[in-house]
Amino acid sequence: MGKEYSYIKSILLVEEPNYPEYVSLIEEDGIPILKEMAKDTKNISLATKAVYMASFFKTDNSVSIIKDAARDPNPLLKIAAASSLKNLPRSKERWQISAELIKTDDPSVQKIVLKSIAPHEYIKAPLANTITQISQENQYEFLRQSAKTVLENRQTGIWAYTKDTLNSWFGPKVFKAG
Amino acid sequence: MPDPKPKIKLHLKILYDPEPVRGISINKMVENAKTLFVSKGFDFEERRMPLNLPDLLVVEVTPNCPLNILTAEQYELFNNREHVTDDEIVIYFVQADTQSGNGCAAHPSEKPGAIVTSIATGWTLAHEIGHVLKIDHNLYKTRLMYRSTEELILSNSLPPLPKLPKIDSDELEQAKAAANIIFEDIDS
Repeated sequence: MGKEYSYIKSILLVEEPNYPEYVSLIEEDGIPILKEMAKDTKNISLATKAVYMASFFKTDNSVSIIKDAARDPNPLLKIAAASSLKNLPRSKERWQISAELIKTDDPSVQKIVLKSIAPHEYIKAPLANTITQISQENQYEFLRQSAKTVLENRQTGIWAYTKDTLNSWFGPKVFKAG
Repeated sequence: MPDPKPKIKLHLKILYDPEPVRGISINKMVENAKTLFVSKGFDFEERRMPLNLPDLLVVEVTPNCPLNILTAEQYELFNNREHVTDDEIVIYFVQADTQSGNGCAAHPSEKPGAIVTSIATGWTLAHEIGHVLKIDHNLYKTRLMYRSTEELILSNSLPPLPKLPKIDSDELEQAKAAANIIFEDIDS
């Protein structure tokens, strides 16, 4: 049975949300409603919560909500999209969203994207290039330092690339990070 | 001699002005909180100052904001207590937290305070002060400590005087006791 907008709204519109607990209440059939909520910037509190909620479902449809939010001009939606990254599996889509978000001029968004990259991850070229640029040129010391840390901890080389690719196909249990 | 009134002394540190986001000003949030807590027998004082911390405009918090689990960024933020006396609750107005929450009252011990984000309602500040005063959520929609204050803002926005959300009497006594504990150092 499809979920109702008002039901999902009542779940999400709280002071201190507990998203993992809401997954079983909203279920995958609630994702179209999350998509609708995420586009309603007149209710920005609900929109940002819907974006973050979507990251717990990890389906193509839910990832597209995060992708749309990352491209929205509203800074709070970009922040919600960036915060969602750490909940997404390593995948082409996650890297694309990361690469787009980190190019914004918003230092808060850039900070969250950098923090979403786990130590020992392989970082593909477009994103790695932007991170290198941030580490050298960004006006904020905290971002330069964070970018340097990400670059120092990353995996490099063909074997890391192969592991990352296989993990993105079959899941992170094929090869553990490190 | 009667017990002195419990006091709420707020120090607002403003990293980000929430008013352009939802049209709810800090003044309105403070007015709501003050009206409510004064009506419940508290003394209420407030002062404020800007705080320029671009690295903490968005603060990482944990899901559901448990009061005893803080991230490194929360510890870092709450270390910024310059010009704050030990008897004040510090409220940090930030742009957002990483859980898209309205606020979070988790704070290091000995540093009472909370975060309020730019998507907060007019009653989030009062709600988070309630948490700092050790009041948990309850199940009634008309109560300040219901898990959402969204409906309070709708039902209480009519002039001239907002209808105040209720606080259960046992919760109120608990809050007054907590306030007296927080401020006992300054009273002694």
